[in-house]
Amino acid sequence: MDVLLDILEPGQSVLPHQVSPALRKRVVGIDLGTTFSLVAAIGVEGKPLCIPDEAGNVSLPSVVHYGQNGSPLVGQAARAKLLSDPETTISSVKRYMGRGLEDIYKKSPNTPHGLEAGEGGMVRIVMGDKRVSPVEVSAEILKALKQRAEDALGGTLHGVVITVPAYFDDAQRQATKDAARIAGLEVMRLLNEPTSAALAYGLDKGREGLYAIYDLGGGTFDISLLKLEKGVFQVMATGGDSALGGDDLDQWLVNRLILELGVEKPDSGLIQACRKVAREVKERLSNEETVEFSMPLSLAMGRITRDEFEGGIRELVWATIPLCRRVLKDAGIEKDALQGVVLVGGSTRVPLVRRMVAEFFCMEPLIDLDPDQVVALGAAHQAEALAGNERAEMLLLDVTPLSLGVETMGDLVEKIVPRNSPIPTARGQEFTTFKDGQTAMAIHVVQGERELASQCRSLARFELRGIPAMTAGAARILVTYQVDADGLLTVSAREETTGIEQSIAIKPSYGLSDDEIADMLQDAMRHGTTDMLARLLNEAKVDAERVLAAAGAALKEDGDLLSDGELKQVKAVMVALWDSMQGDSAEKINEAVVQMDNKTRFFAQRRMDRSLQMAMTGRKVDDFA
Amino acid sequence: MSFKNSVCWSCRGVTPAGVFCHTCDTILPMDPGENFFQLFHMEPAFDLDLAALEQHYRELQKKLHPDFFAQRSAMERRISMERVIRLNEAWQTLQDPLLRSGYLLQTLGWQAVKPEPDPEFLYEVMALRETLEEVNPMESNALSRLAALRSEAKARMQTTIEKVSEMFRVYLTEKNGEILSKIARYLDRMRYHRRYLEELDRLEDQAFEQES
Repeated sequence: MDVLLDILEPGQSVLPHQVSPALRKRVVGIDLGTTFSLVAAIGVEGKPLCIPDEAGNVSLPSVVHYGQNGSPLVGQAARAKLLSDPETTISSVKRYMGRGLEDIYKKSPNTPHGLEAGEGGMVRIVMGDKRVSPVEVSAEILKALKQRAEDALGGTLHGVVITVPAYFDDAQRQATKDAARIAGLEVMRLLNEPTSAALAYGLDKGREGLYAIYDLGGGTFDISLLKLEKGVFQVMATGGDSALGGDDLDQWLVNRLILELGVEKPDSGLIQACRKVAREVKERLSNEETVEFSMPLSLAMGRITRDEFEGGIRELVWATIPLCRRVLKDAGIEKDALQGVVLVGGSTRVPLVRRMVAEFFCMEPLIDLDPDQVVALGAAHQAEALAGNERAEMLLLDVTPLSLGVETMGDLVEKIVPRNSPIPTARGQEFTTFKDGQTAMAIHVVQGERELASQCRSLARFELRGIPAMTAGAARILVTYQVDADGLLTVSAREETTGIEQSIAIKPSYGLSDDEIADMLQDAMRHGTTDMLARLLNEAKVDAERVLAAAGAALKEDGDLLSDGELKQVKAVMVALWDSMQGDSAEKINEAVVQMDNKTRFFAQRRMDRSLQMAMTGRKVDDFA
Repeated sequence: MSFKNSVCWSCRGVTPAGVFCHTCDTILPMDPGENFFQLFHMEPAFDLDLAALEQHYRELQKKLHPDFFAQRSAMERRISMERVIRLNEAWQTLQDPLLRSGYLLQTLGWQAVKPEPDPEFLYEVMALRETLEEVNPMESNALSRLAALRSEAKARMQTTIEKVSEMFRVYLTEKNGEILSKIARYLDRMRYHRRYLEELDRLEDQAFEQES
């Protein structure tokens, strides 16, 4: 009985997992990089493509310039201001995401801008009397990419997949998601960069087997091991350093230039000038044995050989190798079981990096996809799959990069979710009170591999209140950690003997407060409201589709339980629901769903009775099909 | 075959237990009473075909993963998430001999009581500790010494695993509760060997970084 066919328009299918071209959603993948960013979409032939700007460049320099008035400049135009306006031009902001002042100064004491601690722990960049958060700066880059994509694709974006270093911790991931929110983007998923690269290799190059992805970007290093098999991309283990990248190689050159110039206290103008020269010299050294160049802000000439450069950066590059070894061990995989090593990230163009990787893995690494673009290309695939634009045959199974734990007595860490656990995951651990009559308990959530809480990253502190007063050790408090597919953590706690559940608002130690986000959102406010309405409407439609599909299936199976009159009645409410879906009121659709539910209840009851009868006569439902 | 039916939350029809509704194909909530072995359609046992387990895991992921429900209703998304969280836990537990034996003991009705200390093993532990303390990761031959210790430690772990596997087999035919408490003691041995291997890992990492 093709009941549904007479009430549906041709081409509109309500069966799950099928999407008509009219319902195709406009989605993109974004690689939000330390030195530059890209946006990619799936082209007409099903292959991902990076979207170029008007001048034909696909990469957008991750640089933002805040002028005296008007909106900030982003990309090439901002990069041109690095030398003239070093204090109000920000580059490599990704290194500040979700980071406190101490973290940054520990790593790189020479920052071109003034930094200070902001509310909630994350740094603020000082520009005259203005303070901007790294999240806002990243949002500007995202807005520029959003604009570029919407111009190219001819309409508003439905959603995006944004890539993050696999080794990003919870605070850094949260900060990235906040930036997207401020830019007015709907994040369908935060995707790990090496995983994204593997996706592109698997789907576009047809690679299968065990692969290591070595990703050395501008500011971060990731190493992931993946098993690619029949469309399933399974991350076996991942490791890295979220504060090691090409910037550090530049920094060695910068330090050398400053030394040669004999300047004791370089100002930010000189530092930026040195950075520019350093980057150019580094790039030329990939092809030339000796490079001669003009010294920054000076008439003198400088000279450096590749040997000298490699001597200077050897230790930095070497630092990635023990991490590779660690990941192989974590996955329980021997080097010779690998089918290949894939290089990702601009810094893997440095010959020393290629040599060291080849030497350690005992094989020549793969570079058949552009190491600068491959991450964005993979993200476009994942965006397409999540939007449901095709019944995806691919599936990503990722892991959590760092162990998640809780501080116990004496600064010790009790691990709750070990690193490399497949996500999504949820794990619980029971705790008890140590004093008679204790009614509150402090919980400190930490992330990292060190044994002492003070050496791990602090993610959140909260207090569980309202524990009933009992003798010490009698209360049983279950703390549950849940990590979603974005790698983001939620923590909840419950007192087991009484069932008292505590809803805990976690304030990330290095996050933005909700107030701050609200302020930043003001610009995008008008946008935000329509976005939310659109989301509600979409939700309602999806639900209505499900209800219609379910009713259709029920009619097909047990339609004979209804008289002609009743069948008419059921069809009528289905048509009413269908009609409501053609409008744009979420409320009306939801009402129609409730109506339909009420008016078909008798049918559900009859189907139930029939099944019971079948059960009584000892026959399986299948026998009747 | 048992006739285990439930009412589908979406189409309200009666459906046999499973992942999807027999009638409307909507994802069904998981059965909280289902144990990890049942989830993979396996009999509770220590000796598992790990390749089959992994294949099964991937097949289930291909049906259940939240990515396939990203555009579905909130309820369907939640069910898929809950199912995959459990699937991940089940897979991690069953593929690891240590976690698997602990879980199997529990499934067979073993009540966790602290097993009595095993003097023979305590003596062994003390001797093992000494071998570790003698290694200085900063020394030039540290990596090869650690490698030797590792293969010994792995062999000890393997022997223990084989012993546990044998005891479980005996239990499954004889159903003698005494055997379970004996297994629980061997579980402590496995735990110790695991920690010892982790300590070796740490020393090897130090030695490797030193060697460059």
